[in-house]
Amino acid sequence: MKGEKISIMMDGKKYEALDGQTILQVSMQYGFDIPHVCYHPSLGSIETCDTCMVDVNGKIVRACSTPVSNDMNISVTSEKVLNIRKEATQRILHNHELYCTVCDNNNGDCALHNTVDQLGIEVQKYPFEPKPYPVDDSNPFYVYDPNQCILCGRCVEACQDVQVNETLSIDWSRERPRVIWDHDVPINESSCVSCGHCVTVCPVNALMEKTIIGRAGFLTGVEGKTKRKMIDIVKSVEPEITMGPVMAISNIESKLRKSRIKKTKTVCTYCGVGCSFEMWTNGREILKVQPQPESPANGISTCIKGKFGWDFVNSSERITSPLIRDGERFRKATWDEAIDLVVSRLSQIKEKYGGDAIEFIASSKGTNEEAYLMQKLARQVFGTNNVDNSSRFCQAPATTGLWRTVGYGGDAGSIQDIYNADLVIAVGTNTAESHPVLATRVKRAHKLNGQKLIVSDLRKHEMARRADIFLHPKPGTDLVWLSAVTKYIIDQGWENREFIRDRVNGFDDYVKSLKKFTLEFAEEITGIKKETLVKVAEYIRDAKRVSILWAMGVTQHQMGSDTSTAISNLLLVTGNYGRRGTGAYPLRGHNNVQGTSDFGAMNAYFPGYQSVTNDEIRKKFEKAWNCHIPEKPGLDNNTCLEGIMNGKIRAMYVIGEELVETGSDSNFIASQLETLDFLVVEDIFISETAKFADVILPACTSLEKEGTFVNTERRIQRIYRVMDPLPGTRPDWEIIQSIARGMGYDWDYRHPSDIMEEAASLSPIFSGVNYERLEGFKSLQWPVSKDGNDSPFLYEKEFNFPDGKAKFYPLSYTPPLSVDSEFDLHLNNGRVMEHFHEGNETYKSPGIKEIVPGTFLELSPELAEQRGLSTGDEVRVISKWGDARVTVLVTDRVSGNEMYMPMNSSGDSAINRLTSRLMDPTAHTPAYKELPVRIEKISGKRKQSPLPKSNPRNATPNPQVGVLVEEKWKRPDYEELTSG
Amino acid sequence: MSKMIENLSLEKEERMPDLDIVMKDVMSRMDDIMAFMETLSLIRSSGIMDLLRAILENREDVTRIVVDEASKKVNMNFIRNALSIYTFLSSIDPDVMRNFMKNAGESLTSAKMTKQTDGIGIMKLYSIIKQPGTFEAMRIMLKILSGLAPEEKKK
Repeated sequence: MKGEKISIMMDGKKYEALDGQTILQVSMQYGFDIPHVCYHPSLGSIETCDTCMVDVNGKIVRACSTPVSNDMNISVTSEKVLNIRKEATQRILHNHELYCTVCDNNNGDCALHNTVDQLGIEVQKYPFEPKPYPVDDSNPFYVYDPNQCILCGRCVEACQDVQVNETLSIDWSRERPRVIWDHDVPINESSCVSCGHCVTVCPVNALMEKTIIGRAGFLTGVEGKTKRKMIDIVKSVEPEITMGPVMAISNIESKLRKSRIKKTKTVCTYCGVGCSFEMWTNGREILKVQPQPESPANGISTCIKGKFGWDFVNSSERITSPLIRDGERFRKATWDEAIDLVVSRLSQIKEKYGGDAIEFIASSKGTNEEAYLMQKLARQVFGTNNVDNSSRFCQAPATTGLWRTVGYGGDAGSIQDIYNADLVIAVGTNTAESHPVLATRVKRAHKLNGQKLIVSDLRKHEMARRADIFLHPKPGTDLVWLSAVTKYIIDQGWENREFIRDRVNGFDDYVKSLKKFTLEFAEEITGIKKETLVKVAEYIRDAKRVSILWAMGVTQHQMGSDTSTAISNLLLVTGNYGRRGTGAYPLRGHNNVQGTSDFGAMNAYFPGYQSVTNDEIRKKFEKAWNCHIPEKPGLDNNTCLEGIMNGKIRAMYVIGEELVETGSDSNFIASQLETLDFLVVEDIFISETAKFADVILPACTSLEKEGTFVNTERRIQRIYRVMDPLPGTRPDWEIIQSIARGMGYDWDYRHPSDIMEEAASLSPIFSGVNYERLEGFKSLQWPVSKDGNDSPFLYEKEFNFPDGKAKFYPLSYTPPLSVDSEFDLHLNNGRVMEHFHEGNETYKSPGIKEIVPGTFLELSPELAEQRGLSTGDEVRVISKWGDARVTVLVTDRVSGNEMYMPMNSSGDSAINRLTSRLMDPTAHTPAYKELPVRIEKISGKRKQSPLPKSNPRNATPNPQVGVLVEEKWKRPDYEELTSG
Repeated sequence: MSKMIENLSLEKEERMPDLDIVMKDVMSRMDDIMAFMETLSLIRSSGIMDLLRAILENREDVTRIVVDEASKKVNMNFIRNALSIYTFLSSIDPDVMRNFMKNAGESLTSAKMTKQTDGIGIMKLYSIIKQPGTFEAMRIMLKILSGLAPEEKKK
C-alpha cells in the first residue's frame, strides 16, 4: 500500500523506504549519489537520459522510474552499473559540446557537467556532432541552441504538464531530433507565453535567459570567434591531457562565480500567488530569476512577469531624490527638507482640522511591516482610523462574504488544495492570465488527474476553453445561478445534512431566502439554460472535494459582497469546507494585498482583523502605543474621495498606489486630488497620482529592502535584499519612521524584524510569526500559534466564530447597472497576462512591450460586422462618466454586445476614464465591471492589429502528455541499456 | 488647489558649500584621477579584478579542487614523472648536455641529407663505429642501457 514502510537492500545494506517511492528517491534520501540528468524533483521521471541505471536482482533498471518493493536487492555502485551509466552519458555527449569554463551554465548546477565529473569520464567515446539547426533567438527573453540540447525532455515536460501551455515537444522522427515549438515554428511565432519554465529546468545551456548570456562567467563574455578558438585549442589537446584537468579548471571557475553571482531569495511583486525564487545578480544587473522546487507556492513555476519583468528596477525613470512642488514644476530636495515639510504640513492640518482630515493609503505592493507602520502612523501619531489599501478596489467584497459565513477573510486552504480538488469552479476569474501560476495547477490537475472544471465568465478565455462546463451568464448575475444551483441541490436532497447540522447555523432561514431562486428564474435572469444548471449541480453532487475560485469578475460589482457570500453558502450547503481539497479561494490580485489588510492597513481593523470598534481591543492598542484611537472606523481609500469633496479630507499620504488611474472614475479622482490642501506620494516613479502631489518621496523597490509578504494562501514569506537601494531612495518603512520621529514619536525600528515582532505581539493570528521561522524558503500560513504551528487549511475543527459554527447568510438579488438605448454595449475590463495593471512596471520591459504594446478593445465578430469595424480600427468608447480612445481587436473571446478592454494603459486610453462611482454598499469596492458604453468609429487609416504577430494568442499549441519517450525508444538507433 | 504638474524637468539641486570644496580639489587632479579610473575600469571590464577577487574569496574551494584533481592517480603519475624528468635534467652537467644536444641536432640534419638509397655495408658500419664521435656516443648509450637494467642484475 502506498506510504507503507518497506525494507530494501542497497549495496548490501538494509534501508527503510516508503511504498510508492522510486529507487532514486530512496537512494538520494540515504545519500547515494546516483547521477541523473533528465530527472528533476518537480518533474518526476522522464526516462530519456538513462544515467541513473541500477542493478535490481540482476536486472538493469532506471532508478528514477522504478518503484521500490519489499526485499529488493539493489546494486547502486557496482562496476557494471557504473559502466552502463558511463555509456549513457557518453551518448548524451554526442549531442552536447562540453566547453564548461566558457559556458554561462557552469554555475555548479549543470546536471550534465556534474554527471561527467562524477563518473570520471576522461575521453569522449562518441564525438560531438552538431545538429543541422540554427540557434533560435527570436524570443525576446530566451534562446534555444539545438547544438547544446541533450534531448532530455525536461523543458517539454515542464511546458506540457507543469505550465500546461502545451507548446514544446521533441520531434523524435527526425534524423537528429530537436525540441520544436508548436508544429515547428520559430519561438516568436509560437504559442509560447514566455513563462520561463523550460529555461528554468533546462539542465544544460540549451535554453538560456538572454540576460545571463555572456555575463555569468569570467570568460563567458569573450567575443564569439575568440571563444570558439579557445574551445578548439582545448579540444585539440584533450586526447592527450584527457577531460580530467579540463573539468577541474571548469570546476574552479564555477566556484569562483560565487563571488560574481549573488543569489538572493525573494518573492514576486506582481499578483497574489506569491511565487518565490532566487534572483541571480551581479551588482544591480539582474542575471536571471530561478525558482526552486522548494518555493512553497510555485515550485519551479513562474509567469512572464515574475521571470522576465524586472527591468523597471533599473529604469532610468526611477525617482532618486525627494521632489517638492514649486509653482508649476517639481524641484529636487534633500530628504531632510522633504520630511520636514511633510511633518510640518501634516501637523498643521491635524491641528487645524483634526487627524480625521488626513487619509493614509498603504501600498499593497509594500511589505507587511510597512503596512503595519502606516496604520500605526495613522492611529498612534495622527489619531485617525483613516487608513486603507487597494484591497478596497478588488477583493474586499470577497473578504466580506467570508467574514459573514466562515469568519476568516482568507483562502480556506492552499494552492495544493485547489490542485487536489475533484471539482474546481472558477467564477469571474481569468486565472490563466491574472494568476498564471495558480492556473497551471488547475490546468495540470484537469489534464492529468481527471479534475473537473466549471468556469463562469463573460469571456471564453483559456480556462473557459478548457472547462468541462462553460457558463456564460449575463453580466453581474452570478449570484443568481449560484443561488439557484444551491437551491436545486437542497431541493434534490443532495445537501450535506450532517455537516449542516453539526457545523453551520441559520439553515432554515437561508432555505427560505432561496425561495425565489428557481431554475426558471435563474434562466430568465442569467440566460443560462436550466439543464446546464442541473448539470452543474450534479457535478457538485458527484465531487468529493469542491473548491471555488473567484476574482474581480465577481467582486467588482455592486453585488460583489453578496455574490461572494453566495459562493460560500454553496460550499457550506455541500459540506465543502474543513477538508483538504475543498473551500473558498478568492484570488488576491497584488503580491501583498492580503498582507497589507492582514497587518491593519484597514479603516475598521487593527492588525490581525481586530475590530477598532471593540473597546477591549482598542484599549490594548492604546496601551501598547500610548495614545487615543477613535472608536469609529475611518474612511477607506474609495469613499475618502467623496470625503475630499465633502471637505472632510484635507490631506493624503499615499504610498505606491496609482489612485488616479486604478481608482474608479479617473476624472472625478483627479478633480478631488486637485482640491487637497496637501498630498504626499511615495513611489518609485512619478505616477499620475504623484503629479498632483506637494511632496514626492522616492521609495525602494522590493528588491532593495527586507520584509515579508502574505500571498493569496495566507502564506507569509520573507523577502531579502537583492541589491542595495538605488542611491537617493529609501525603503517605505524607513520613510514612515522618519515622519513619525519628525512628529515627535520615538520609533526606533532597526530592521523590519523588529516591526514584525511588535505586530506579532499584538495580533493573536500572528503570535508565532518571527523571522527565524521564515528563513529562506520557509513560510507560515496564518493563523500561527505561539509555538509556530501554522494553518495550511482552515476550519478543520471549527469556524472562526465564538461557537465554532459557520453561518448561512440569506441573500436577495439586485440587478446591476446594465445597457440601455444610449449606452448599448457592455464593457468588461481586467488584466492581460503580460502586464500588471496600468503597466507602469511591465512597460519598462522591452520584451513585454514587444509582445503586448498597448491596450485594445475586444469586439465579437458579430458586433464588428454589425458596426463595420475591423481589427486595427480606432474607436472612441463613451460612457456616462468619460471617454477613451482605443484600437479594435476582433476576437471570439467575447460574444454579442459584450466587449473587453485590458487595463494596461494610461492617458486617453485608460479604462478608468470610463468607470463610475458606483460601488458595493458594504465593502465600498467600485463596480468597475458594471459599465454600459457606446462606441464611435474614429475615421482614419486602419492601424495594424494591437496584438502583434509574435503574440502567443495568435498561435496554436500542440498538446501531448509529456515528452513521449516511447518514441525515442522506438528509434532504430536507440539501443536499450535496461535489461528484463 | 494643486493642479497636476506635467512639466517634469527638474531643476538642479543647490550644492552644499563643503561639497564644492571637495569638488574643487578633485577637479585640480582630474587628469590623474581620470587615468587611474580608466585603468581601474579596464581592470574591471577585462574581468581581471573580478577574477582576482573571486579567487581570493573562494580560495578554499579552489585549493580543494586543485588538490582533489592533483591527487587522482593519473595526475599523481603525471606529477611524479614530471618531477623525475626534473631530477634527471637537473643532475646532468649542462656542458655535456649542450654538446649532446648540439651533436644530436647535427646528426639528425646529416642523417636527413644522406640518400636513403645508400646502403651500409659491414665494413662501412665498422668504420663509422671507429670514428671517435660515434664511439663516444655508443659508450654513453650503452651506459644508459645498463642503467635501465633491474637493480639486482646491476649488482
